[in-house]
Amino acid sequence: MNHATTPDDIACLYQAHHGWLRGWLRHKLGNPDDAADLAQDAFMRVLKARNASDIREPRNYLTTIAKGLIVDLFRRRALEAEYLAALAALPEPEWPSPETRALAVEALLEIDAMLAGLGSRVRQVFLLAQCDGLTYREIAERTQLALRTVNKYMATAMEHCCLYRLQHGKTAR
Amino acid sequence: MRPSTVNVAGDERAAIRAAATWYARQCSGSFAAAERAAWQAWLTASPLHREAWRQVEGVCASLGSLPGQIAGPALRGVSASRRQALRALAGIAAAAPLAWFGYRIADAHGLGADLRTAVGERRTLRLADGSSLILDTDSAVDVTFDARQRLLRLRRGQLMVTTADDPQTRLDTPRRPFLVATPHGLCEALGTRFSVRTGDGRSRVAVLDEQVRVAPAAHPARPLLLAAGQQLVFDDNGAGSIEAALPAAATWAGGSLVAVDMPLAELLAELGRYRHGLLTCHPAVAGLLISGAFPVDDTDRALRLLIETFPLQTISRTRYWIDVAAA
Repeated sequence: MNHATTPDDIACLYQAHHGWLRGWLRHKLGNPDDAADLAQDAFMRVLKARNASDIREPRNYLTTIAKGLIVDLFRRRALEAEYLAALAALPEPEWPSPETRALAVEALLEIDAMLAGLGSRVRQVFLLAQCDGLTYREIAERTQLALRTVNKYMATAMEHCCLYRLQHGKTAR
Repeated sequence: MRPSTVNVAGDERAAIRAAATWYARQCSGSFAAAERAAWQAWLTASPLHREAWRQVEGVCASLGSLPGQIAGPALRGVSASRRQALRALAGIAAAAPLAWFGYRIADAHGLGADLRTAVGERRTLRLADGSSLILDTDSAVDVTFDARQRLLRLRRGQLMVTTADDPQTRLDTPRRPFLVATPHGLCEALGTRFSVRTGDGRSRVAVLDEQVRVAPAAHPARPLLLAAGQQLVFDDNGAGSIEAALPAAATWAGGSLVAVDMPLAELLAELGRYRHGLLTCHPAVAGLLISGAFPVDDTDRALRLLIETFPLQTISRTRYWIDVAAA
């Protein structure tokens, strides 16, 4: 299965498909700059995976990678925008340095990934309790759920997050 | 892949489930002394329990790495965006032919109520059918609600609509479409929330919830279907391609201009809509990419934020002309 991937394999792949992939991304995104960036990222992934010579259906493979990158890009942009909007909504907005902002967006991406498999109501309950500090009674009022359900959702969410961290090799702190 | 299906030994899983249940009890606000004692007994009973509890603490630490008043709104806001991204990936759906294509603007002035905002003003209005309309700075719109349609004609500026269910719909009458017309085409709401702007020879619609069907005036028989999170620019020649909606298309209604990697010249043009006078930038910094949230109700403050954060300065050329240049 392993032929050693040579720089030539990558070069061939790049020459044969880079322009096509960029066009495909441009069609999906409607933005040539993002398309160029993501096409580059997709080839970087191939380069890192060192499996260029094993790829049988290069365009399928590249579009699969590219779709993942599009979702990541949208998620990151959306989170960054939400983060900035949340900052702006504070009574006395503070202005973070670019470094702080980058770290905050990374942290949000990680939390968002951890919460990803939760149902929307479970997620909502968990965030209201954990981030907004609402009591179960307040959450029950706001979401029209029974107190017992709020309690159950909290346990469900925490169990999910613990399992996520275990499986993604996050060490307990 | 759901994490819960991945390999975690049975007793470890059971311990985590128990720890999560204890956690839920602790957060309830009614964790009495007796319960606390029971929890501590559980903790000391097994190293597996303590390990599971450390996981719970890890999750809390991860969530606590940002202030709650930031993380809460940001994470709540983004769950809708994920669905939008997936929809965008599903491709640009071919739109169904427009049943409503024979629309007529019955009378440009007759029944139309003229609504306007001044430069720097933003107004929220409730329309006769219960829909809400937010008018941005320096905007003008005519409202025509009749037996067949609910029509807004946007003459200039920007609006955001949150449609309500039509109260006049009965079993024997069809639903009246909710339409927004600009000089460059017509948008039909197929859902609830979207934003439309027009000016500089073009129009833009950005969809925030559900879907909007757009028929550019140049190709009215070839409407396009936009999903939440998408936007479309159209002009006298037709429509551009469907793109991911810019954050700014939604956030203006809350009074902030949220930019993510927006060129400075574009940012200043946006801010300039909210103030009298001229706001320009030096060509050398026009392409500088800016990210941030800027208050549109206080553009002086927005400019201060800008020059405090980026290597820029403002130069007052005259009382009504501010130029932004490299510091």
